[in-house]
Amino acid sequence: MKQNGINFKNIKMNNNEAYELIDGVVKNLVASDAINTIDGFDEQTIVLGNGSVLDSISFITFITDIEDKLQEVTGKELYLVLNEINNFNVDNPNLTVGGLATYLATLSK
Amino acid sequence: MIALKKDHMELLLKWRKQARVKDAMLTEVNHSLEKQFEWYNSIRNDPSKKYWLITFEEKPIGVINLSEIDQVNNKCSAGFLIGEESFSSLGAIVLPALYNYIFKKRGFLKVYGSVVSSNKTILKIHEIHGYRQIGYYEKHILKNNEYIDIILVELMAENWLSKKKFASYEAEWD
Repeated sequence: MKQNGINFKNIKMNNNEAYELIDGVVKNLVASDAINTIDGFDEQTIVLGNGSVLDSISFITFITDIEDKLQEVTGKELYLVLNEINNFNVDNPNLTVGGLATYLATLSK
Repeated sequence: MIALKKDHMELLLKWRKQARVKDAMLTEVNHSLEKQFEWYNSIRNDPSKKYWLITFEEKPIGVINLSEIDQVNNKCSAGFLIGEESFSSLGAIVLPALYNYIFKKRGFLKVYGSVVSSNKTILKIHEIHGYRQIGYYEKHILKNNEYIDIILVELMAENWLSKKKFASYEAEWD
């Protein structure tokens, strides 16, 4: 796949690129009214756990859209496995956008 | 997913008594632990029912089940609850793994069920998963001194299996 003359196949993302991917997915979801506007969206925004900005409907839409975008960008079928995310404390679950970006960057390598 | 055991009843009862869970369920639970054990004894050898504990990194977070399992007509009902509130966002994520089990491993033709009409969240989740609403019963259940409507839904195997985006959602089932 080519976008703007850049070949996106087999791209290995760094954390910033992974964050941009998540940010793009969120903006698309907000634009399509799939989720509400998230005030102050940044790396500290919580997407799963206590204080999450996403409910169960938003969360599955968010995750599946990220998987679709990952495939589009990297050219690989990649799936998020939540319990593979480092530093995810099950007793105080708190997955941030930054934590997810780090995981996506690792996943793409 | 771990098969539900007697040891899990105290936790399950605690989850079932939470207001947010009560509001979403067709039936309310206000009974004692003894009654909960009786319920467990009634379901554990019932071939039409199967219950599993949902765990996340070995932490129990909810329960998922099949009921009305009909191996002659290849259909069943399904249900779940996320008892740990901080994991409630995972509600729509655990169901695809169950549907893949039902349709791919068990070879069933359909999942069907009833939803409290006020439970807009699960109705939306069902819509995302490909269910269709086939009708409703008006004022069908008395809950909190009020008669409530019940929406009837079903998910056909061919509809689910055509949704490639959920094809990778798998779990191990005891």
